[in-house]
Amino acid sequence: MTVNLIKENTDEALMIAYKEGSISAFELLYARHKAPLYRYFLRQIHSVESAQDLYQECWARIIKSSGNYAVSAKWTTWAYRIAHNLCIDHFRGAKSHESYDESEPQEQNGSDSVVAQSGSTPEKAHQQSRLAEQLRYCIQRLPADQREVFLLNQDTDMNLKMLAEVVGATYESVKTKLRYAKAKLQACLRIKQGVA
Amino acid sequence: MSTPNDDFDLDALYQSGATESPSEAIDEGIIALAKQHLESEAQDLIQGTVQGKSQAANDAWISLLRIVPIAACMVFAIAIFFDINKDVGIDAQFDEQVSENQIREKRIREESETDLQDQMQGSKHDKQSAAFEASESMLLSEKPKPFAQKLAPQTSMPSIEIRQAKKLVQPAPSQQHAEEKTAIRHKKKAQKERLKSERKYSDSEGLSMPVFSDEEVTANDAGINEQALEKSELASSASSFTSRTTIPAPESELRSIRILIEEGDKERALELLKIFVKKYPEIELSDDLGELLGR
Repeated sequence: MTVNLIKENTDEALMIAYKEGSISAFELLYARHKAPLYRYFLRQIHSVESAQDLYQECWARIIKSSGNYAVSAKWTTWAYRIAHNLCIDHFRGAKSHESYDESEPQEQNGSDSVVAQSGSTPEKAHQQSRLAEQLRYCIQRLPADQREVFLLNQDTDMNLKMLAEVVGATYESVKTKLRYAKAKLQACLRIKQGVA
Repeated sequence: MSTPNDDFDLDALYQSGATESPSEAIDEGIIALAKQHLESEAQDLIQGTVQGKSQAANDAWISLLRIVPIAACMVFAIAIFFDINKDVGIDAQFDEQVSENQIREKRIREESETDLQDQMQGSKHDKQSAAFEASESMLLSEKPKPFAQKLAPQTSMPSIEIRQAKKLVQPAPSQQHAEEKTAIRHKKKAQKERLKSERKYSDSEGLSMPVFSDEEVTANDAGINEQALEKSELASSASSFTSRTTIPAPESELRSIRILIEEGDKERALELLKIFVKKYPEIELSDDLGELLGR
C-alpha cells in the first residue's frame, strides 16, 4: 500500500506513506518542498539564522503532526499554514512585526549564482541579476501581509482560495493584497531603474 | 501575473532569483528527525502492545483475585457441612449403642422370664407369680424413649452440649450390667421363696390366695394378662400393706409390724398384728408382739 502511495506521488499520498512508516516517502516530499518553504521563511524574516531556525521548526512540527494528518486539505495548504503560524509567533515574540517602512533590507548572498544561471550574454545576465536583486529588495520593503501573499503566490502552486486559507483571510482580501503587492513592486523597480 | 502595462516581468524576475535552498546539514537534520520520529512511534507501538499484554495479564489476575475468595467461601461452607454431618454420625452411633443396650436388657429380661415361667409351669396354682410376671413384664416392656425423642425439644442445642447430654445418657458399662443381672436374679430367688412359703400356707388353710386355672396360667405366659392382674389386686386388697407385685410372707409381715412399732406407729402396728393373727393363727407371736396385742 505504501509503495502505491509513493507511486501516486501526490503530497498527500507521500505524507500518508510516511505516516505508515516510509522514510523514503518523506524524503521525496521534503525534496519537493524544501526550497520554496525555505525561501518563504527567508523572504519573510530578514535574519537568515532566524529563518533557518523557523524552517527547521516548521519541518519538526510537520513530522510531529504526521500522526494526526488526515487528507482533508492539500498538503501544501496544511504545511504552509504551520509556516504562517510560526512566522506570526516569531513576529509577536520579537515584537518586531517588520513592515515595509520599518526594516531595511539586507544584502543577499545569492547574486552570484543568479548571474551564473541567468543569461545568455554577460551583459544581459548582469542586468537580470541586478533586477532580481532589486526585486528582492522591493519585496522586503512590502508590508508583511502583502509580501506573504506575493511570496506564496510565487513559490507555491496554490490558488487564491488556498492562499486565503493559509493566511486566514478572505479570498477578496488576498486578491487585493496580491494586486497591491505587485503594484508596489513595479513602482519600486521603476524607482530603482530610474524609469519613472 | 504581470499586466501588459507593467515594465517588469515580476514572475520571471522572482524565479530567476529564487535559488536559495537549505544547507545539507539542515536537510540531514530534518531527515534524521523524521527517522527518529518513526522509530519512536514504532517503539511506542511495541510498548503499547506490551502494555496491552501486561494489562491483559493484570485483568486475569484481577479476575483470579475475585474468584479466590468465592472459592474459599465455598470450601469453608463445604467444611462446615461435613462437620455437621460428622456430628450427625456420632448421633447415629449413639443411637446404635442405645439400641444394642436395649436389646441386651431385653435378652436379660427374657432369660429371667423364661426361668420364672419354667418354675411357674411346675405349680399351676401360682397365680400371684403370674401376676408378678405380668406386671414386671409390663414394667420392663416400657421401652426407654429413644435419644432423639429425649432431645427433641433441644434440637437447637449446640453440638458440644448435645455430646455432653449423650455422655450422660450413655448406657452403663458392662460391670453395671452384670450387677443388674445379679440383682434381678436375687430378686427372682427371693420371689420364688416367698411364693413357695405362701403356697404352703394357702394349701394348709385353703385361704385367700387366688387360684388360676391351667388356661389362665398359659395365658399369663405371654406376660400380659389383665384378668390375672385384676384377681391379684383383689387378693392383695385383703392386706393393706401387701405390695403391688408381691404377697409378703409372715416373716416379712412381722418385720414390717416391728418397723411400725419402732417408728412409734403402734396403732397401725396393732391393726396389722390383729390381721396377722387372724391370718396366721398357728404362728406363735414373740413376747413384744404379744404384749402389744395384750396377751
